[in-house]
Amino acid sequence: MSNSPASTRLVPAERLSAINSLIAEGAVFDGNFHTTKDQGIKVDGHLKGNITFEAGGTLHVGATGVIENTRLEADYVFIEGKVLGTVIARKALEITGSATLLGDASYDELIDMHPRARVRGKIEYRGDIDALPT
Amino acid sequence: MRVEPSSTHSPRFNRPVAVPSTEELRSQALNASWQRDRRVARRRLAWRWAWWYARQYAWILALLTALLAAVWHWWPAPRSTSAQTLSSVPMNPGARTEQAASDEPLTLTSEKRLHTKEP
Repeated sequence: MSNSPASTRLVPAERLSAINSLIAEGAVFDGNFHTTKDQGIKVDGHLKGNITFEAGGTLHVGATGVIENTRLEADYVFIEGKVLGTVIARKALEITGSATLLGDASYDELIDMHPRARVRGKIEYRGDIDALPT
Repeated sequence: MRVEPSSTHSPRFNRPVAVPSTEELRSQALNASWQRDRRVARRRLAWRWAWWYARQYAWILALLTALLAAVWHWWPAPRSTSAQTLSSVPMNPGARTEQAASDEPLTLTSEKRLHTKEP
């Protein structure tokens, strides 16, 4: 049995391993998920609503996961499934080749988009565009 | 009043069951989920690449197919390859004349008639 999540290049595997909430495949969750703690959630089922981590937070949309009518906000966002809505990644945003994103995405630090990822929307860097590299 | 357990009470409820810890359950669920992710993502990605290649190189496949069809159609047909022309062994003269006779069209001319005049 493998003990590491697949195909992550940017989002740290430790962050994905520390996820403590799961919407399982086949389940439908209608509502908002909100927390002030640095936690994580993985969506393998169907979610209609928002996910907001006020501080920290890791969001993993699995390959079978679908999120619609949403506003997702977390430090780390790793998308393998389908998202319809707005995505805000405060630290890193990773969109794999099996993912579909219909909506705008913004990030503060890092972004990684794998070949064959399907994105229809605006990608926006929220940091200082003229800042010197550190 | 003290209630005695009934005799129909299943003994399996009294047996201690090893309940997995929350952490163990969480890691098992995550591992199973990752395995499923890998399978689904690999399959979806393979289809996406295949579709992209098919669209990218469809004209080359069509061209090759057309070329092969043209070659197949216009290639000169081979000459007669019957046993008679290929065999180096001379055939029976009788068979040859029978063959030649059978190849001729069946026309009934006056020269070929055995009995042109009635006796």
